[in-house]
Amino acid sequence: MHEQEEHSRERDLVIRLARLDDHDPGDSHMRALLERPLDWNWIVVTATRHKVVQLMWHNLMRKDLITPALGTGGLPELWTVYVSQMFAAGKERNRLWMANAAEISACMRDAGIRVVAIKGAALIDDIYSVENRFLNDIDFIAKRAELGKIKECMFDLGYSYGSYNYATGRIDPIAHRVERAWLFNNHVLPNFYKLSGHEVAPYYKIQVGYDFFDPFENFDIDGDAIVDAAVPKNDGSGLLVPALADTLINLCCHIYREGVSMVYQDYNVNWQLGKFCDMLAFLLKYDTCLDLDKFVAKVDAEEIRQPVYYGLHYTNEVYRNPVLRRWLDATDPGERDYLNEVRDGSRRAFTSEPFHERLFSLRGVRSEFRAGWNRHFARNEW
Amino acid sequence: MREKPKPRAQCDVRDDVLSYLADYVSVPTLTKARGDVVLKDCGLDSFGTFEFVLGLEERLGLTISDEFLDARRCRSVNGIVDLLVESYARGRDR
Repeated sequence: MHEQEEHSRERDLVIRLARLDDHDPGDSHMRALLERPLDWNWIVVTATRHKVVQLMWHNLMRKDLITPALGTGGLPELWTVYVSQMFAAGKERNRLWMANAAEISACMRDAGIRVVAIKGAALIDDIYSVENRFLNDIDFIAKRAELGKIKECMFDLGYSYGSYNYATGRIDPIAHRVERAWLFNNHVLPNFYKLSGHEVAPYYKIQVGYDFFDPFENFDIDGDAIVDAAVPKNDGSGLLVPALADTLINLCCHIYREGVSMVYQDYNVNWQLGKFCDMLAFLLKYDTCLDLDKFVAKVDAEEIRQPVYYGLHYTNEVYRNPVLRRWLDATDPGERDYLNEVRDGSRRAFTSEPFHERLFSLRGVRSEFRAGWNRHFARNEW
Repeated sequence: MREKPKPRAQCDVRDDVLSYLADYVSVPTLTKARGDVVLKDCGLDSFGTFEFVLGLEERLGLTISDEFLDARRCRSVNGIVDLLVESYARGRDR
């Protein structure tokens, strides 16, 4: 990263705090960054957009950096109040939602259905704690043939398709036509919502999918095989999680789907440091447990080298951690132009802006959407 | 190798789909198409395809059940025909 880049010290700080692997308690580099005032208005907004506020605060606390941040680092006390409250509320929400995920999983199991927790719900209490990983929802993957039964089961549990209305505190239902359009165009069922009765996290939001890719994308993956190969999570929760290789594929494909999405680009939410941290932290923990040759064989059998490499490539662009090297070398797809592509169905466009500028852009929502999906659906409907 | 002749019902469905597509995109010659027809080549994007499938339901007087609503299966006329035939068959079995 070049020193003359806007907010270069702030970028450095955010990246260094959006990770789990730095175990240097003194952290001399961070202390040096905090010797002069930083732009915390930019830092807090950026960390929030990248879903790493909890992680950032957790790292500042465990490294004993809050005092220098408040002193020479220029952290305003008002931000300290808000961020520490976001941290506490995030922890509370995660506890509530993780317990709820376990309940749903148990109900499904009683109904003879296997649902497998992925992303945050799989990673908390494994590589993360409930304190330091933001949860936006609970994601499950299931067999497509069982989606009808899952919908029934979720409705029996009091959930409905819809979106949470912050103005009224209620769940707004979705129109039947929207539900059908969603099913037609997505690899997940519409969002399930239920009011929780808790002030900090007033609703539960659950997504259940059957593939890592949407139907109009060039790739797909055998979700049934992932469900069959899932294993009990090693935390006593009763949740099922994907086999290690499937989790790595999922993390890669997730970064790819959001990175190339014109739908996400309209809202400037293609990139989240939290996703890159998931990948790096997962590989740092499980690198030696995974069989690289078997992984590559699976990637090739599914014909998903491009999305897998994409996730690894951009994680490396952020962290430059040596653990990524052998995975990158083994999955290199040859052709690289697609790394700068955004897509909307079969429409494609290329972007020339450097990755770190896109990563840290705080551009607002586009006034005129480019993606077809956004012209049909409001943001709260997906 | 010659393809096995398809059951008459499937041919009827294909004629219905082609006829509706010809009207939908205003290309009358599509009714005489012999091979498969890719909907993207007719100017239909993913949402255009969804609208087309909804219109087709109305034209044929049927409702495709949720489990068959899948853009991946609706990229071409033959894909939609297979989906409709399977949907009909599943409806009969229930």
